[in-house]
Amino acid sequence: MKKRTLSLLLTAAMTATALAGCGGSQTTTGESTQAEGANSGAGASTGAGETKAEGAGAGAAEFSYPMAAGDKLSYWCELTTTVSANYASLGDTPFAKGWQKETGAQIEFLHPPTGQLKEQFSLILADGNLPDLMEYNWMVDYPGGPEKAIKDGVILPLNDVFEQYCPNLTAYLKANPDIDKMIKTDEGHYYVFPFIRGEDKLCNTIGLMLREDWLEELNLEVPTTIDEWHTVLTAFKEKKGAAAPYCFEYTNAQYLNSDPFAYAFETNRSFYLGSDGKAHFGAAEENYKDFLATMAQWYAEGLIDPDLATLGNDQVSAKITNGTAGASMGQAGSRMGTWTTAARSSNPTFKLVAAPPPTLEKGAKAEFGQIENKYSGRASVAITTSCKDVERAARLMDYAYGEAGHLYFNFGTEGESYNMVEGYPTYTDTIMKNPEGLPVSQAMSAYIRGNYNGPFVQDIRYLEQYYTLEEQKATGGTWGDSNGKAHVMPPVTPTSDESREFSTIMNEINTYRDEMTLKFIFGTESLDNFDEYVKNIENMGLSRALEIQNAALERYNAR
Amino acid sequence: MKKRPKVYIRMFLSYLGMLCIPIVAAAVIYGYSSRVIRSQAERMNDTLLEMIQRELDQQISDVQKIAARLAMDTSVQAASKVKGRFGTEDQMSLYYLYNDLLSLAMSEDFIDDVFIYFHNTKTVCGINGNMSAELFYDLYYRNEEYPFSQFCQYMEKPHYNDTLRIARGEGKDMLLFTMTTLDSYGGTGTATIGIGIKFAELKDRLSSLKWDDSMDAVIVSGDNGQIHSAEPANPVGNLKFDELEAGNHVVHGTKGGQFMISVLESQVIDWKYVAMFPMTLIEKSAKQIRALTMVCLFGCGILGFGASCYLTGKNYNPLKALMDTFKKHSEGEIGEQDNEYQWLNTQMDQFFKKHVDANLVIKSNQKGLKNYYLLQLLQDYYYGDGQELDRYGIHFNSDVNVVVLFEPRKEEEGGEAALRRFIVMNIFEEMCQDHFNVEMIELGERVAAITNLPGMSEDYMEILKDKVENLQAMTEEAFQFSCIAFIGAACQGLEGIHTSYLQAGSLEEYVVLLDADLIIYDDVKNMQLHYDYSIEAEQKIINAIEAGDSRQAGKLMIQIFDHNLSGKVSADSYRHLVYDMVGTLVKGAKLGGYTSAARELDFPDGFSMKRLPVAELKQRFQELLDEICEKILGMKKEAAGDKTFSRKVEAYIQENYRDPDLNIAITSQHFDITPAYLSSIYKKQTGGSLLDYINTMRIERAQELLEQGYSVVEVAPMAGFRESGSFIRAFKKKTGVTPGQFKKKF
Repeated sequence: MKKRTLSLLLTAAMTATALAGCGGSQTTTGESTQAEGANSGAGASTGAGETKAEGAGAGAAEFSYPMAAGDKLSYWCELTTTVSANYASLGDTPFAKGWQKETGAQIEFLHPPTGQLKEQFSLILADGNLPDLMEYNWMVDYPGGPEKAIKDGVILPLNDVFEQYCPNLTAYLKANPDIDKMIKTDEGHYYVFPFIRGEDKLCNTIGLMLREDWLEELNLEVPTTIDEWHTVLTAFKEKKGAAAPYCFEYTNAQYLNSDPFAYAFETNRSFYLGSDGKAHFGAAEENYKDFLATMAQWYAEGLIDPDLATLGNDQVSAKITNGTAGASMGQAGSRMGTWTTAARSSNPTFKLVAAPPPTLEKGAKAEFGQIENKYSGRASVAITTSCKDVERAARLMDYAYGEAGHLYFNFGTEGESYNMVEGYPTYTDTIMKNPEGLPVSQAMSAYIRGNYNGPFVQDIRYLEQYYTLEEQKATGGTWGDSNGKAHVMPPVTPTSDESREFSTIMNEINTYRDEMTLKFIFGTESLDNFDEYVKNIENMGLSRALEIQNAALERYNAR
Repeated sequence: MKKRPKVYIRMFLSYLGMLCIPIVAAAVIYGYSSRVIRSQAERMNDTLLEMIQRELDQQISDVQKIAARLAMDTSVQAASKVKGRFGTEDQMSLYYLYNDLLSLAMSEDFIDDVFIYFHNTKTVCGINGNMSAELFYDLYYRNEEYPFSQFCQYMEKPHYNDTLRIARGEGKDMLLFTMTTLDSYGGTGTATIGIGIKFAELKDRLSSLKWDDSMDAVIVSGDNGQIHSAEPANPVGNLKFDELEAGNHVVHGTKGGQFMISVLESQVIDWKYVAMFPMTLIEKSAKQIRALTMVCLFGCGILGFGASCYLTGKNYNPLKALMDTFKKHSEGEIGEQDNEYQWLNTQMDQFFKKHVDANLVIKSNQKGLKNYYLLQLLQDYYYGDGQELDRYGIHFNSDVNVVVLFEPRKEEEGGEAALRRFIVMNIFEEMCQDHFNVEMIELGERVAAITNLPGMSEDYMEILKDKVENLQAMTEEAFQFSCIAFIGAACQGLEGIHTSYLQAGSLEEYVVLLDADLIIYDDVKNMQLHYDYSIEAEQKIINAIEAGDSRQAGKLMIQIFDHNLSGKVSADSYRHLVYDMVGTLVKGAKLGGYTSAARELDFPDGFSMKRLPVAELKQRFQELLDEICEKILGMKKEAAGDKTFSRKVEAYIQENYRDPDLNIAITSQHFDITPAYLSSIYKKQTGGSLLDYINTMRIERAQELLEQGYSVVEVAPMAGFRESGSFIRAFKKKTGVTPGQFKKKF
């Protein structure tokens, strides 16, 4: 399918060249330059040829990787921990070397010190000496949003660039209009080469898990409702002596934002898309009160770790692995896999099982559930205004969205990091059983970006092999079993003025909400005061924040 | 070579002696620079240490401050009082505490861990979360050497700014600062604050301050614990805290070699900062300088020796040449005790003595000759080319010369006069040498100065005059004698000298006339032109004499004298005037008929050479006039008559005009009076000249005859001309045309 689209595009591009060569290009104006509609592939390409007739047409026809030697491109990105464990720079990895070899571009990698991504980003902006390419969450983390970044003259709008130099990405976006919609601003500007999760399964990353061996021992089923969970946790506490039956990384905002127990009450501590198609702020709604009531009850009963408020990964890991806790939540890889490996050295029977999104009623399909947007804004690359050779930069980035690039980013080099086994890219032992003893995640990070993020389309087949445990492989189906997709806020982009106002309001509200949430759970604040709490939040400007979110949502829907 | 001359050796030795300067300088520089290197190394060590001390002390005092702040914190103290275990009611305050600690740790990147250990609940609240002490220990402080029980014991002991080393391996070793909370009621509290600093961080600070890889910086704590900037153990061996004294020391390393050690105590904690620096590094620099110094010195020596040889040879050569020259002309050998200079000195003294003697003789000879030639120049016209003059030192820069004669008044005789001449010669020569070229010579009583002027200009003459006057003033003032000076005219050429000399010599008589000491030829010469005696004035006087009016004549004459003798007048013109005046007297006497006056009166007497005072002269003339006029008046009375006489004369002429011999003399014989008197009487009576009358008579007659048709030749004898030539001349003179031309008109 993908291959067919590409060849169709090539044909179209060649037609465009032929047309341009005939000198009739000026007469074919009037067609929309935006790529719209499934059927207009050839037409859109002709349109592209029309705006920058000669250059684009000729470029598309003659272009092939690797590119001829040219200026070095500077590429700024955060170095993920699985890379930094073994390499000082992404440029030292086999992945980056191969990438440069394949594309013919020379790249100078620049990395901010670990944990200082945003600070360094601000410094670079203030300095004004921008790298050619910057990998960042431009949608969320640029103050004022992506449109502001374009207006500030920091990054280039990429519509023309996509049309002229990026046949792969253009083709992908044409085939995936939902993603095309996500990666644009309200004004219709493309601004990054996006990180895209290729399939929905890749979007269900976080979920509940609990000790299957204990369940079996206690003769209990995997809980599916709040009540069942109560039973299980009580059993863990009473029968297994767990001091903290349910223990999760409360200091991790990502977890709090997608708390499955909150979802059970069809709410969320933050914004969600209601069934009415509007944005809602869960923490100020009645459902949230019910959720808090349950949590407070569980906490009072000792079903939740008493040190909940300050729980970090270290403690949770320790408590899960040493049996202080019996249930937690987290990712299948970095949590379930890691804990299982660690615990089995002393307790071979240790086994975790993914629990489905809990509901209030037995057998009901969960309405809410954790799911991320395919495009979250993260690890997406913008071309800055400092870039001198835009074509070169664009071609380098576009590579990842083509067939060869897709394989390269997700699986690396054939024969080295993967082999094609009956059409299925299978990781070699270099990855799976690294001769130097590297964990799979680190071995992968040396050869691919598929296991974390970056400007490419993530392939589910990476995950299928990355999860070595059966229970890990099962998580996708289990955690994804909800209608969550309908309630996740799409990547809306408030205008720069709005976003400033929005963040001012929400900073205050969030601080207050977090504090109050803890107080409600700890019971230091009675839930009788919930209405007052909601009133306070509203006084802080919630309605204005919702107004901004809804306006942005409307603009998004109108894209 | 046989024995070296003394001076040669001395010279050579003095050059070699100069070499001592670089040797001494090099020694001083070497000594000084090695001291400087050493002190600089010490100073660098000290500075380094101070920097380390300042930076680390700052950090540690920050840590201590944070610890103290937390120890005083009321929420910490409240939590520390909880016994058993924390209840749900405490969770919020623990959560706030956790957030506080988190922001503390974030703000100080120096800090690795911050936690509070609560004794009563055995719980830890830290940046990694709140948890039981055991879990905390397991997660972060598990250590074989330091089991949990010991950890708890340590934590429950009271602490104040204590440090504990936590070994965690993999370069994650940590230094834990502990402080027990201070109970507000006094006494120790029941919570311990722990702040961890990574060793690596301390090491980073230490090594970032190193300026040479071979040096080491160490922190030695009170319990002899050590933190090094570099991994390899320090080269000096174990440092004992108590043995380290602040300051700089030299210590032997464990693996040999010496180290300079600087020690500085921390001001906030019982630490000593130690900087170690291998002496070899200092010595290396010193060695380099020493080697360089030696090479330079050696070079200097070789070069200096060579230069000395060369310079001695070169500088001795002129002396040697002198010696050789003198040796050739002298038989004297150098004595044992003499050196070359002494010998040369003697030789030269002798030589110059001889030379001076010879010169004196030549000079006096030349002076004689010069005087001779000068005399020649003065006394005769010189027409030579001046070469012989040159030979005797007579040089004239230009062609214009003036001779000045000086004559000291001879009041006294003898040697005095010679002295005066000498004085004059010297003074004048000295005065003029700035302006003119002067040659002086004695001429008997006088002194002649041949002054060579740069040009023919009045200005020079003025200067010369000034000089002469100055000289006169000077001799009078300084030497009490006066000196007469005569200045000749400026004359061209060497021959002009004689002319000028003559002129100057001729001025003597003006001394009396002008009563002056300085006579200038040019002034005197100009006076001659200035006497004024017109013909009209003379005629008036003559007329007065003729009329016998002695008073009128005397008055006029005195007018003339007064007019001419009132100002300066030259002797010549005075003399001429007197002669003229005498002439006038004689003429007047003659016309008055007193023809014999010249013979009878004694004119020359008293007028000739002597200058008479004017008053006396006037008196003489008045007497003469009176005498003459008396005579004339007498004669006039005799000849008093009327025009009958003139008519008789005219009748006589009309009768005898054909006689060519007829003239005034013949006529006067006829009337028996002198021809002059005849003319005078005739003129007096007729107003015309007798000779004119005769001529007019003859020409009128000739005109008549020519009109009548007589030829010129015929007319001449008929009109009383002896020959036709004189007739034609007289005719033309009278009528303006020749007789021929006159005849043609008709």
